[in-house]
Amino acid sequence: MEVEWGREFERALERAEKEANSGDQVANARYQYLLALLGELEDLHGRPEFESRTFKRVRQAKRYELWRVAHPYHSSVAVRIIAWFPSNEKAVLALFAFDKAKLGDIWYDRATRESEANLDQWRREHPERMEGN
Amino acid sequence: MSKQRWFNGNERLRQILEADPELAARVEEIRKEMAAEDRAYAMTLSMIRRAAGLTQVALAESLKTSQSAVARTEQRPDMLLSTLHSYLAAAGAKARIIVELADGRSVEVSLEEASKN
Repeated sequence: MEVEWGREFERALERAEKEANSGDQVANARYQYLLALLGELEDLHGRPEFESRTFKRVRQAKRYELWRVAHPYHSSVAVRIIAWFPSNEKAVLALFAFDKAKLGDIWYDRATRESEANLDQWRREHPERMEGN
Repeated sequence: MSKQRWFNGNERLRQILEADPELAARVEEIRKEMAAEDRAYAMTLSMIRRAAGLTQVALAESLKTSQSAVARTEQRPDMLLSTLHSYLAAAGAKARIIVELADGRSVEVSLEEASKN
């Protein structure tokens, strides 16, 4: 699966990388989990067909079929990625988060709004890469 | 609105992991844990089938469907009661639903009956 993300996602990834390299163990673990989730997305052979522990649909999403990607329980780390699949060959990653205390429904409401705005922009800029075009 | 830059995640991930084999090994371990959890998630129905000594192909023949349809059913987190009943019946199993009422009494309903409603 081809994986793509925007500037904000890239900046957040750079921050996560920097924090991981600072010697903070939790930051290091977060970064490792984030990379593992990216690896899962990369290895998909198409849009997820069914929900699993790793891939679940975001219930709050109305305009796009958004998926949240998560890892097994960890006592101090919770990384989530919000992804959308414009085709069976492509994943566009809208955002990620790892503030364990805030990953509830309120976060998903906000993350959905932000993700949809981000994906609107991707669609405007890549009309040729939508499935069927 | 100005056009934003989009990044190739595959290339970025490859560079990160190639630059640090220790990190790459840890990431691989986490992914193995994830695969194990995903297998456990899909295990409930397949365990019943295996306990009945059936392969997905054999169960598919009973259900007059394809092996891939059985595989998909086993991975579904949610399904109609009638689908579940058919699957279990094909594996020679029966399920009963126990409903605990607010007043403390329990009502037992067979899945077969519940799936007809």
